[in-house]
Amino acid sequence: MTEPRHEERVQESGVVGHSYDTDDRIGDLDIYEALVNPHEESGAGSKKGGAGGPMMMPMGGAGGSGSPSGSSPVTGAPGTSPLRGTSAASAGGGAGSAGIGGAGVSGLGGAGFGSSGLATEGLGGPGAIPGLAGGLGGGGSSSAGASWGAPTFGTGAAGLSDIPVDVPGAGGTAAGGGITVPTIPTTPTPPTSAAPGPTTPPVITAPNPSPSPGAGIKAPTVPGGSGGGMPGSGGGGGASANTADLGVKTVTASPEMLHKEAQHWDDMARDFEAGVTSPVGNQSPSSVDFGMMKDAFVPYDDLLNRIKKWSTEGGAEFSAISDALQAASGGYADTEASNTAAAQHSGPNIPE
Amino acid sequence: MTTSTQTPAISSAMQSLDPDAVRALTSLKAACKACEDADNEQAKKGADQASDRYDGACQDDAKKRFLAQGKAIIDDMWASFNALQDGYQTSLRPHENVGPRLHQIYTDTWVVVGQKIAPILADVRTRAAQDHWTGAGADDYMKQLPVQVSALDELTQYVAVAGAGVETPAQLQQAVFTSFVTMAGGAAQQVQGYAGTETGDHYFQRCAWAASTLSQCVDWFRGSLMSGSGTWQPVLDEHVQQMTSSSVTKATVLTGDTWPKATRNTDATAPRSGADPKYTAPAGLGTVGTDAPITDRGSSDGVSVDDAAPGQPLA
Repeated sequence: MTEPRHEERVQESGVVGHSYDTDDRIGDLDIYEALVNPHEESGAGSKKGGAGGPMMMPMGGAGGSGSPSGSSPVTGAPGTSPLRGTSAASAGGGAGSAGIGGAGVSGLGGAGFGSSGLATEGLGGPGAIPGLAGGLGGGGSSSAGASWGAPTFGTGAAGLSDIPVDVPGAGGTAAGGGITVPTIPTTPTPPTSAAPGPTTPPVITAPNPSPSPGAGIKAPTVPGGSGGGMPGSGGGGGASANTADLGVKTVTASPEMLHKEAQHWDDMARDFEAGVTSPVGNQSPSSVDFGMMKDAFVPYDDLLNRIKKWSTEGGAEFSAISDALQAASGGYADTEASNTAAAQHSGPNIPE
Repeated sequence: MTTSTQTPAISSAMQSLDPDAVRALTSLKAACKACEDADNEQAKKGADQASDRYDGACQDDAKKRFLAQGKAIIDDMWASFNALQDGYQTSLRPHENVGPRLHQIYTDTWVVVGQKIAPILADVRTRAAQDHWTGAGADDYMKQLPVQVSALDELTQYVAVAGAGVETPAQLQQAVFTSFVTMAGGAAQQVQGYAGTETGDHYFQRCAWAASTLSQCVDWFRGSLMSGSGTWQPVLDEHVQQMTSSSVTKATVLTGDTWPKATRNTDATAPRSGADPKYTAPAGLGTVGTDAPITDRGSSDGVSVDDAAPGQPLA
């Protein structure tokens, strides 16, 4: 494995695989879900972020998607891989298992679903490697996992390994043949829609996520992100491919960035508490304090009480934003670490 | 249109004006005493003239009548002085620290709070402008930031209003003291001037003038300064009107008196500006402290020797 050239993790549209040239690139990170639902008790981004933590999904789920047409020993049977994937991978797996060619494509679909709101970033091109593609395309953030309540969520991106793999029969566009995973293109490459493999329309078993009330799914921005996938695009990944066609922008984020952002909001919350909330809260005037100008007391006192409330809530909101970002960062990092360990553990299964 | 909520001009320091008021009253008292002494000294001559003119072997009432009329004038002068002094002592002096304390809340709390919010606001603005995060998730995150910016903007405005909420009354209360000091100090100089005035055959004229001046001061103190009528009350009314106006009571961003939450339920499509000014300092605020009565020495001619003639009523 080559050393990362930089810390940045990038999810890009059109990713067709994972390459040692682009170390540790990961799927999209659902910042929004982690951020905007800090108050939703049942939603994705609980303040503690626990629910948003990366839920585990055996990468085999994604890998399994390719099994109908592939014979990759890497991807294996569903659920056999210890690698964590995203719910996207799960979705992709489900789609792929329907027999659509290209396990990688199934991974695409999975990404679209798992990212739940940022599925647009979970694109993968034809030939994405089952199992790996699932992880790559996943990128469902911790919050996403919580919001969907799916048991197989995780930041599949972390499940990547920097291994150039020839996966016989895994490629969606080259059924039965090995695919050399290309390097990740720097520009989004819409996946081809020429579905390889069976001519029979796939029977897509779309996941049926039931977002908890208030769960933060940005459905409008994620056409097909529900994991339904698009028939013909291979596995369940077509949906994500379409989002690339819609010109959805790239998400660039990393645990470090989130952590830094979270720390910044935390510092801001502390400054706000010390500089605003506390001094305002210490005010307790009476009409006597206004002497002959006692008529001015009531409107002042009313305003003071409102400012007290605002300042208290403002500081709390800044803390909530920090917590949400921190939860995303922590969950993301945890998943990355787990997946890294899992990837190393499963190393012997990967062909040299 | 102003770009920010107006607050009263910050005075570097505001201290109790009680020492100045006491000093002015002391000077006024000394001036009154000077008038009394001068009149009593002059009255010796007038009393003798009255005695020579109207008293015979069997009576000396003319001198008594002459001095009694003079005493009445002096008493009237001191009555007015005491009314002014007592009025200050009981009605105004208890508020000597109101202005300084409210001003201190303004400078030590609201000005500082505003200064603390400023960098936070600037920081959130900066974060909202960052472009190294892109994509749907980042967009959704940063889409919430303008709402937070607007909320901080409006909080800043409200902090400024709260500052005015204490600073305007502080300045008005201080203006009342300033007016009193101006009035008492001016009266002292005026009365002191009477003490040094040659009055000819008009006895107790100095005290009569002083009594007239002091009476006008008392009337102004009671009818204007302490009631606020025509002085600070209209300014205070305008202040209260602004503090209770809809621009203050109805927040545009902090609606429902609640801080907007960065949730997807928050309407971040077009956050309203919270930077609109909400308060303008009352127009007459800067002139209240210059209020003081315009006094004159009245129309009294004091006491003449003729006033001691038999049959003249004693004062």
